[in-house]
Amino acid sequence: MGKEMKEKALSRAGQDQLIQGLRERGFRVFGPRESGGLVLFQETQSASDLPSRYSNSARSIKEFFLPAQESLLSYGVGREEIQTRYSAEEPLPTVLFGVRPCDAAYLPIIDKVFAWEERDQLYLSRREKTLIICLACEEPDEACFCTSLGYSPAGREGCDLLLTPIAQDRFFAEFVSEKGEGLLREFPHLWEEASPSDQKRRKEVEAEAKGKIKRRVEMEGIKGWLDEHFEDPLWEEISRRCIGCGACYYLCPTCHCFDIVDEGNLWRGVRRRIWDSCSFGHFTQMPAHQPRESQDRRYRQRIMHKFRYYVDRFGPIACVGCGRCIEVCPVGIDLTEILARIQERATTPAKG
Amino acid sequence: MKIEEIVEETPDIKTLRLVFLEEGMVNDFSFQAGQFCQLSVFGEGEATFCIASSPTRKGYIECSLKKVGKVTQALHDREVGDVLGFRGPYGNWFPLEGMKGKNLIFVGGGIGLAPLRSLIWNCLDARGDFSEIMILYGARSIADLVYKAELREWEARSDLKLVRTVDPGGEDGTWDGHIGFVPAILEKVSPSPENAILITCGPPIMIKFVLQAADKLGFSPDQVITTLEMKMKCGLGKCGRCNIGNIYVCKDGPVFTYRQILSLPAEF
Amino acid sequence: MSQPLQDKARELLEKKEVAQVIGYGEGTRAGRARPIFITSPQEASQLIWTLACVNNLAVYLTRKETRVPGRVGIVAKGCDVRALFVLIQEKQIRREELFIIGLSCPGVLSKKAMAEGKQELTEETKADKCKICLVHTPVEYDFLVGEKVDSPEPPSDPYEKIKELESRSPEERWEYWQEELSRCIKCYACRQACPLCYCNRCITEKSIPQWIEKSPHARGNLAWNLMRAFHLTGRCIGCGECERACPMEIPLMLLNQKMAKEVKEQFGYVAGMDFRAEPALATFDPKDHEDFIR
Repeated sequence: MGKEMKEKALSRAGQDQLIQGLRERGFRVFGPRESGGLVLFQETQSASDLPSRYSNSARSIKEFFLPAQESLLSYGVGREEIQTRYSAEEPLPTVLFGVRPCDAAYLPIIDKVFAWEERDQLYLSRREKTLIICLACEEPDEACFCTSLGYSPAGREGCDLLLTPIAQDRFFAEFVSEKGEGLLREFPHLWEEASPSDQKRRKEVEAEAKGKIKRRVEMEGIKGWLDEHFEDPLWEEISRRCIGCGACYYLCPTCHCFDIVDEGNLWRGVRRRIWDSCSFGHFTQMPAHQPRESQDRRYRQRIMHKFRYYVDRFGPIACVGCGRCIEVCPVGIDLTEILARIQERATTPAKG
Repeated sequence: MKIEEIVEETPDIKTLRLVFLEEGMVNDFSFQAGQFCQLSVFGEGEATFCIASSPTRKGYIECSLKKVGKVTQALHDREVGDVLGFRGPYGNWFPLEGMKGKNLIFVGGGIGLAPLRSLIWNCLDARGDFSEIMILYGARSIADLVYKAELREWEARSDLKLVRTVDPGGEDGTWDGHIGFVPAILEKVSPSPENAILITCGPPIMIKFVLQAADKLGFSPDQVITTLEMKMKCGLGKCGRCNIGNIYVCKDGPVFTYRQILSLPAEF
Repeated sequence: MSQPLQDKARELLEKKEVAQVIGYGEGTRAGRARPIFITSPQEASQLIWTLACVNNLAVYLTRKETRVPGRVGIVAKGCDVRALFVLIQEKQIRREELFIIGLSCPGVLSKKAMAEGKQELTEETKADKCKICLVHTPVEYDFLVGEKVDSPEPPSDPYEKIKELESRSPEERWEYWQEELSRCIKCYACRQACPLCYCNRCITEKSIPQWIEKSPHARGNLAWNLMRAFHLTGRCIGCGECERACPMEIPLMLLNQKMAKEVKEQFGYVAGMDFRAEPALATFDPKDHEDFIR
């Protein structure tokens, strides 16, 4: 782009003033908050609402762009005519505050599927009306592996503004996008000059956080193996313990498949879009035919879609290494273990 | 759209003729043979149907539907005059241009004749553009044959050859067509692949064996065209349901050459 | 404690007494265990028995992907054996098809304790279900790993939290469940992890009519979670897998325990203790104290 990204510093008080200021300007601000034993994104009044130590929210931010359920249209069947009314309303200006870089990184990946051919206005209008303010990680989780996919605990993909903690009461602020730069103009007094030692510290914090990520996958060769091994005994082996729930799919930021259902009666009701998952048999079940009749075939679809089909179709791998799938799987399926096994096969010369 | 006419093809298949509610809409609407649409019964849901009428016949579309689930059952309960929701046309279409001047062999099974019918009438309405035409069609039994009136019409025409078959056990004393599964009859009839295109549609198991039979008869994968059916919801390449391999059946299909099918993972 | 387990499994497979052993193996994360399926004697050394062996392996007996023909050796804690018993009662598997490798179990670590890396079993780190367990030694087994132990009287009332909720007004209870169920995302981890949710087509997948709405809104969440609790009434054996599997920390066991309490009080029946018993809600007793049927 040629344009230099602007950098400033922000105090902890400044962070709070930023949230207040955005709220005063009519933005709904959502940030991670403790709720029912989990960290979830909820309406936030001030920076002190944010949990002091946490790695990431239980659910990703995808629900702000693709809600778990939303009405598409409502219908009313009268004697003379059927009336339908699209439910979509202008999205309210929203700020997602304290998003981890891995979660923000999912946005440029999944934007592609929602913007190709017929553009999904519901998703895209929310994208347009939402500001992403990221908070870099200092304490990655044991399940995190963003670095293996080329991302970073202080990465900038998908962020409008990235805040990296560089001291107890100081953040390094990077205005990654035009939208982010708008914050610089809108709140000129909040920002302090970033000194060379601030910049140095920012790099150090990132390097330290990266160093804490122990989970590592070599991605070399995986795509090639997937291209050639649609049929392979490995699929049955790695998915045998899978019980076919949707937990990893629904918590995964890049999983975006959905179902469309009518709710109501024959006179009045709503047509809804709801999250769905290829782990369920009903996903491909047709009256006379079931192309994916066993869990191993459905599990294969998960891996293939993320690491092969999406790449071929849209470019990026549909995974950001947030590690939620590993955290949440009730039966201990580990995506990085699976990728490592594939990689091993990909790079072991064939015998005979 | 409003239901203008209902034809009971078989005990569980009906053909609905649909017209737009708004007069002007019909002028803005056009489609190509092979494309599909989504019909809605509000409150029950939406389902995918190929457009079974030819684009050369203006003013209406026809969809043939087999009663197999919630939405199709609701559609079967509709009466003439009822209003349905319509979205479409979606998907790609049969490559008509590339078929001109060639011999066409249509191979259909059961309700698979529906998408073929759109193409068949499209070709028959421009008969001079194509060389020899053969239609091979079969069903489980005589009662299960669709478009019975049109089968008689095609039988009577001298510019095409109609081969009919029913599965063994599906015949009765009056049947004068073949007896046997469609792929077997295809091999028996043995059309020449010379300057020919074979277009097939039917139950997945039938298509599988027809593709094998076509291969045996010497048809190259580029000469064979079929339609894939996957469960669909959005029809727009978003919801992910119809994703197989690198393609979305709703966007890159439903029409595919056998060559394209060979490059897809075998899960359809 | 893993050694006797491994030895027995090896022996069973060597003698071909079972076609497969379903047990626990090392997870990929420190201090975790996960289900494994072994079919050869050499693989027996992968089996472990630790405080992290939380899964109820009975769930794999009704899945076609993991049910191989022949007799199955299944590693089972006391709670898991209760699930096996209900499966036998409901004719999903025959007793002869199972070789139950019972585990004498002091309790397992809670989800929270494992997430925090705790490794010792204490009242704090124990899973809630273990605090009220009466089957530290399984009721029945073909081989026992460990010593038979008596289950101590639970230190607290097993229904303490239930009674607390029962004491609230209906409005308060409604508020409580609306709040808890608002996090439900319909991932069906609860259903898939439950050994007794084995329906080939779950009621949510039946569309003519759509008995239970699929959407994860307040109404749909209430319908699903309450209906699942009803379908488990008189059957749930309290293994807590649903609550453990739930990624949204919904206290599902409260619903199931409440129904179990009702069944115990009204029918004097506790599920999964005797597979020869008649299930309470599937049996008509002429001596039923309700007279509406006469």
